[in-house]
Amino acid sequence: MADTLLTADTESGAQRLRAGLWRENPILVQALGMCPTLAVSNTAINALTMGLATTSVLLASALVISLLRHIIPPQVRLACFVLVIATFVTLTDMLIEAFALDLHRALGAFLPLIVVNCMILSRIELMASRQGPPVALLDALGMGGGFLLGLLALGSLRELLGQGALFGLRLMPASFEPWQVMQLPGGGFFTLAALVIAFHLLDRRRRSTEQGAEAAT
Amino acid sequence: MTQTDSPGGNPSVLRVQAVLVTIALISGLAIATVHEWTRPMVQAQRGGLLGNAALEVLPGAVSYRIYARGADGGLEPHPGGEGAELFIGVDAQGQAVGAAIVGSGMGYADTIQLVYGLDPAAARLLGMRVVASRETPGLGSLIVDDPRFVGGFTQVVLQFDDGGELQSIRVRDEPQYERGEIDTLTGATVSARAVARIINRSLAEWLPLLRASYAELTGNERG
Repeated sequence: MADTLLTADTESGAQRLRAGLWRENPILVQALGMCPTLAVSNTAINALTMGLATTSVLLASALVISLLRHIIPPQVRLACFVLVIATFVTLTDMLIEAFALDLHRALGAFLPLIVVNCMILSRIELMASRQGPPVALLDALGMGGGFLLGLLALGSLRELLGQGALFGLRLMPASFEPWQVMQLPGGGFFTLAALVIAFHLLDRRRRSTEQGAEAAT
Repeated sequence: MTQTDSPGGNPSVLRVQAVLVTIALISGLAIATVHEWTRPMVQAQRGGLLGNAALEVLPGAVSYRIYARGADGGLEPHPGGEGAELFIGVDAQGQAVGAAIVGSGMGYADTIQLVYGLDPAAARLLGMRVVASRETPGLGSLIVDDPRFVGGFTQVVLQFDDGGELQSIRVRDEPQYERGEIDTLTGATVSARAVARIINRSLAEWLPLLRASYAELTGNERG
């Protein structure tokens, strides 16, 4: 992890995009933003909305901070970052309340709390404040996309096993007895642990395949 | 305190402040603009939620008439939406089935807005629905959807002392609804007490007004 952070400054936009989606996935690898991850991932639609809201805040903040990176004095950079992030979080919160009140009620206090999601502040500090808009945006897109995919996987699994449905549509047979625990906070931890194990097994297999191919050539 | 950029490259205090203030001003302007744009939409949706909640807490009601207190404290018809305070529920035969009152107050995290139903004799509650809250998901949010907590409000009998003064609704582990008690919520005691406090304050304000005007309000509906 530390190695990847050190090389992040020298990577291209495409590399940063891929890194966020897989190698540095905010949920499955970096374990960032765990509070909303575990709290609002009880259904796929909640997870999707939170993922999209977080990604849009990250993209907008990364663009603005990247454009202002030569103007913002280092002494007040964190104050400026938080101000910009809080503005976009508030705008997102108001727009979701206006256009999807039910979702806004379901996500409750976790929408405003996007402002303290450490994933966003870390991307702004590590990338957007040091790179131009193209790289900053691709990095934000990768990290936001990785966060969204991780959250969606969690929400889909929990809804499927906890309610027998996906996005509200019943998928499991009538004889299926929903696992109530998957809808409780404990179910979030169980599902996250299972996903992290599955991710690392897949990642290990992918690396060994790549190493085998390199050795063969 | 230096006012100009130092030779070492450190920006002046003035520049630091100017950047911070400019970003804050632009942020404030953006938030104010979007707030003004989205407020009518939010108010319309909230109004619809209040009406739906009123029908849910007034069993048998198929429609309602909306009122709010005027400047002189008297009840006046209201067009609906934000600002509605009282719904008189009416059944399919045109008979009044009770009053649904909008109450709000501070919860654990933010303001809680709710609607509770009162029977025509103003002697018992008919139900309660939380319309807006930002209580902690999974804990305080149980005031919205915990079946035992929400269901208990259909059985609460209001208590009056010998002088006819309303006694507060109390939160108890093993509530006796017929004695004006409601369930507590494990891990969300503050939110449960906030709901009780909101209803107690609202009842104290509305009971005298309803007793004085209920017959007139329901008469208007039948007419």
